[in-house]
Amino acid sequence: MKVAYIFATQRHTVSYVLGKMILPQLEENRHGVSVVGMFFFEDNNYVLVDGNPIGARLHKVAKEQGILLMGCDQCCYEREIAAKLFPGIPIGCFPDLYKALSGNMPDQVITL
Amino acid sequence: MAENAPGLCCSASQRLTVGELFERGLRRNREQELSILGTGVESVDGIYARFSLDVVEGQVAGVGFRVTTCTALVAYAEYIAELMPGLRLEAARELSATKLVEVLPDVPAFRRDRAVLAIAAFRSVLLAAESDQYA
Repeated sequence: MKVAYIFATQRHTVSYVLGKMILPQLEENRHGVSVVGMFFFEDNNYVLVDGNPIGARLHKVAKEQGILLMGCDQCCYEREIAAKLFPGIPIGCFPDLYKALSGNMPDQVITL
Repeated sequence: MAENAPGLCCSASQRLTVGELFERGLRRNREQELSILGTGVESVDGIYARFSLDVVEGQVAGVGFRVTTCTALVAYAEYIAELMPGLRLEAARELSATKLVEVLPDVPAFRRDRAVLAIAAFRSVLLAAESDQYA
């Protein structure tokens, strides 16, 4: 099964659910499903800023496993981080996300 | 960080960041179009822009627009709308896509084509205004 994650809520979503559950499982190839994409809203986009330690691990595993990472463009512009993300990570809105996933559609979209 | 725009609101300078231009631009995008309409310009991926103008004695008195709600495009359009009032039409024509890109460096490279679209649409309404002026 292929899934995409949408990180919509804040608090511990990135530092805990992503950083301590999903990411280690991806790194160890035992997540159980194929992750085709991750989309980040609001403050969750800070994980995509170049130099973020969780983001660096995520960026690496995403490149290795062909996982699309995308930040919400309005969220990034509002936080003035759009030009500070890891190289090659796009920003966009729903049309961009759907277009980017269209070649590798997930079976399930999980909102966290 | 981008420079401040002229004009004050509640004692706070209006900032020329993509996020804040987008906020203001969304409102302008819903306002009624002005008296002189330009030709709409559409990109191959369906992104659209059209400007409208009010002109008084050869000077831009107001700028309106209808654009697709792409964040970068709305921000570029709003920058044009905030910059132009008071300028003569000849001076308004000097604004380029390169300048727009320079003013908003946060827009990533793959979105900077929106600046070209915005300038093409804006030049269209300037042409319409000049035709009006000499008609």
